[in-house]
Amino acid sequence: MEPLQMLTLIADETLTAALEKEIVELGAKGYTLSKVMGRSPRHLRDNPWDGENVKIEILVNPDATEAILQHVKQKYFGRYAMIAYHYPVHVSEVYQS
Amino acid sequence: MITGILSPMVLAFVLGVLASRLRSDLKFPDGLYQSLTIYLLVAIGIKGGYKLSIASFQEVQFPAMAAIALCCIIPLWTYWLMRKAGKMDVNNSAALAAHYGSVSAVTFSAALVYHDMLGVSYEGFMPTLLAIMEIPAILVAISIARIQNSGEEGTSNLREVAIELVSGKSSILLIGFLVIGYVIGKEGWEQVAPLFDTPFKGILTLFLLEAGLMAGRKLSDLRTSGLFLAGFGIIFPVFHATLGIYLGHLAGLSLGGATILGVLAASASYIAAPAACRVALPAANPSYYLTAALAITFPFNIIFGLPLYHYLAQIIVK
Repeated sequence: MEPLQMLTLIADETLTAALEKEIVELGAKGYTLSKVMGRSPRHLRDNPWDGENVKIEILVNPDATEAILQHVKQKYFGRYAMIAYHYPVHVSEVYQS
Repeated sequence: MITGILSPMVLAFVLGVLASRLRSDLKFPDGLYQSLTIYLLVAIGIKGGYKLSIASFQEVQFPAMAAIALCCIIPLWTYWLMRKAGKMDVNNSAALAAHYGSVSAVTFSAALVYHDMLGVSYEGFMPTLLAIMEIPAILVAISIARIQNSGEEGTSNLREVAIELVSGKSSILLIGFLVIGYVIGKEGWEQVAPLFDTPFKGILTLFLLEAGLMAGRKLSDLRTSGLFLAGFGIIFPVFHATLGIYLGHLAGLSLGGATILGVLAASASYIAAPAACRVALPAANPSYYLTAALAITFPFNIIFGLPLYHYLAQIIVK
């Protein structure tokens, strides 16, 4: 089976809808989304007034990982609060539709 | 003056600020802020819609024009002033213009309750003006930034920003329930009034406790935002209120109605505008616009602004 990557994006929640659409277009078949709070060197986001962050976890193949990373780097990095990281994972079962 | 300051809402707000400064562990549970916001917007919308249905078009047309004029002009000169006198960059100036041009539904609610307490009547269709004034100023301000920043395009175009604003929760609830209130008539309104009319002041008091907690936290940011912004956050609302009261009076509004249009002009948004600015003006610093709107202008308006604007309105209407 093809090795999969766990690609995680943490970003300003206002970007949620755009990111959901874009990652699917770039090859993600599914994702897990949660609202999270936290601090970065630039921002503290821990309440609904200032806004919260969204964490999107995507299990994807290495090509799609690269495509999504390139896309978010170009479109969001440097302008929006966002961080991305990935690591290889062993998935015990992938449902094939 | 005392009636305004000793209201449950203002006292709850002050308690919130105090609790926050004392580093209390008082914190609203997750989701309660959103729930209270939904309640307030639905309650304002449905009652305003019902009242609009019993008003005539002639009564509403001139106040609506005054509202549109205010929310298109305020961002223009706010932007200009921030650039010239405040020496701020394009993005921060535009973000402040968006916040001060748009309106605060909670300040508006506090103004309605203040007038009820004083026994001063106002036009029931005022929530329509709140709905009219929420979005245009944000679009005007973002357009200014786009024109000034030409070449450095944001990630979403103006049309996308407009669609997001109109489909945003505050517009959907406010405009949607204005329409619902308009079509349900007296009978429909009376069915829901026990939930949306009588408890309104109590729910608003709860919301202001939460707003106080947040404003208290933001006070620490005042050091970074500086004296200019603090001065602006107090002087400009008074100026905008005066203009709003005057235009409201010219448009045929009563003393109470003109004062409330003044309050709308004086208020700064902190629900729709911050979200829009985070998407469309990511380079703007939230510790300027959110601190100014939430820690300076909002407390000033609800504590000192309401009695002051009522006083100013009495002079202008005379």
